[in-house]
Amino acid sequence: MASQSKPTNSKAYARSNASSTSQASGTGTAASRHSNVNAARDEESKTLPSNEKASYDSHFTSYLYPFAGMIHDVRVRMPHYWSDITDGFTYRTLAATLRIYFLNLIPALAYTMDMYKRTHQNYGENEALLASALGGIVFGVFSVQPITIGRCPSSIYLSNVQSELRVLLIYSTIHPGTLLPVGMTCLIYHSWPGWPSGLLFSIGSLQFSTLSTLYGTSRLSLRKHSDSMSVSFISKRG
Amino acid sequence: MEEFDANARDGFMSTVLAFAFFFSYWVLTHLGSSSYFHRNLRILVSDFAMAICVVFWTGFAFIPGDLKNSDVQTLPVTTTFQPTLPRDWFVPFYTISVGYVFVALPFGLLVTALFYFDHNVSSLTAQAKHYPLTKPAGFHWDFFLLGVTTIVAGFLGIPYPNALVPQAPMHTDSLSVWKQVEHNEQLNEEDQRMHNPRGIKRTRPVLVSVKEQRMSNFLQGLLCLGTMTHPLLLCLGLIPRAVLAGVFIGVGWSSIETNKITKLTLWLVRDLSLVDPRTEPLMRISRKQVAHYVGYMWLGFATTFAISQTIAAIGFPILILALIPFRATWMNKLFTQTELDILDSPVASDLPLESIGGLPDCVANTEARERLREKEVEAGEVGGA
Repeated sequence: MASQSKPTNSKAYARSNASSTSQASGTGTAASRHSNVNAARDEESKTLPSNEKASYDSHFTSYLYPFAGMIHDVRVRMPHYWSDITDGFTYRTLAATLRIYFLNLIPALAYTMDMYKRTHQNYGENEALLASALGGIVFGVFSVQPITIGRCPSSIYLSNVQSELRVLLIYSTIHPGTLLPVGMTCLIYHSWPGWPSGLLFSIGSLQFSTLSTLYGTSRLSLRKHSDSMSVSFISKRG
Repeated sequence: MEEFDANARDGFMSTVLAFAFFFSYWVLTHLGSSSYFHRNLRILVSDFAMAICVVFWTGFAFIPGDLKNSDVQTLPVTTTFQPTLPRDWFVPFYTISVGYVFVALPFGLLVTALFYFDHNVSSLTAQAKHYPLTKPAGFHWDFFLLGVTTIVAGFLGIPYPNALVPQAPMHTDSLSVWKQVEHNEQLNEEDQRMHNPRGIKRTRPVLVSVKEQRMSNFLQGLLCLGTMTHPLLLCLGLIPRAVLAGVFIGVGWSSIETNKITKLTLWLVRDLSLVDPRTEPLMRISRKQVAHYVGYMWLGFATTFAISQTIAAIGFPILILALIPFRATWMNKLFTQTELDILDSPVASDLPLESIGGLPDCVANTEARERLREKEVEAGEVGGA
């Protein structure tokens, strides 16, 4: 039933979802919030054919409605924006800021030494610091889950850059004359993979991120990932 | 272990420094959950453990005498706000010949895959089940933002920033507020008179809330920007590389300590007669199945680790993404649903997952599936009426 009437009723769904979440956002604890959502949902269910709140195959996650997920995210978080700032004036924020600053800075610096060597001096300390700052400031100001920390990336990313350079060298020996002045080359070159990474745009807008639920549940692969991360953290030392 | 390139004494000094750093960091962070000293002091020390250790051991390497004479390697530094190469911050990316653009394409796709799961993992672990979060999450919008920062970083010729695994949950950890509440098991009156005549209250720490705000993220970004000024860069130049190595050990170890693989592997060699079955759901599963499951974990870990040590490391994201269908199909056949509920429960709670529409059916655990069914029944009744 829901799937048949989905296209025509999509706007009504969006409105009902928005209103139920904004009602819910006012309350404090998780429990009361949940019951509130339920209450709101019950009320609306009388007037609407379906009362699904963003279920797995709702239109927020459908490819047929690009940007719906993004708009939903912003709409849901918007009421919390002011409290996100005012809640920040506590001792805990200070402690967390300093801790994360060191946790960000020190590994970033350590990777920088690696990066400096592997990229023929294209990336140094200031680049890494600016990247961390960019991540922190942009995600701090604009993101909907500001609790996630953005920073300068890791060793796997580095090996990507390194093999890029290797391919670049091979390519330039096959096609001599196309090479740009050494030094700048790899930077210019490296700005191009940024474009396909703009695919992340489409991930955001076309709701590919539904796949992340799979990831969310798959603790197995998550553990593997974080494990190999931590071991490579240890083996990277020195 | 590049420190050994210089000479044996300096290399040894660096190793000692790294492990001394790691040990002190470990002790200070664990002080927070121990029962020594006053509670406020404990919190203070574990909050600033990293800062204290970095400053102390950096200073330690500069104590005059033998310590100062052994030449530990430090970081190379650059000038204020300037790129490392003599260039403008803006990279003229349009000056490149078209061929390179197409060569760049597959690498871009790999970076996309890498960031895709890196960001997912960090967002999910930062909002994991055991944190009492109240504010809603959103994954779509954050991916969009990540795309923006990536393109901007490409223009500026800096490494692309993204969210990374160990730091994100640590951030949530350090934002958590713990409260002392009265212990459930109070002594009865006779025992009280016998063993606790001074009437000291028993309490236990409870995670009551997480300060969900955007100031700490923003401020640490500003701090990083501030670090690009000259005096601070000079200070960074004083930090021995061995201390950095110590940080790596510390961060890596703290995530191994709390890891599910570690926990399950140790479970295999545990004396079951000494385990309280009420607190340990693993008691309900046969050990063989646990071993089976851990075997897959180790296998996956071995392949991912092996691949990250070679040049094939760029294939890492693909491998990890390939594990997801493995979990969703194959594992469902090998293990029963109850076993999977215990061994492999979802990382994030319902609240963050709400924004992406909850769990897909093939991986949802029994509890979530029942909730879904209830919802459907409810919907059906309303629709019928």
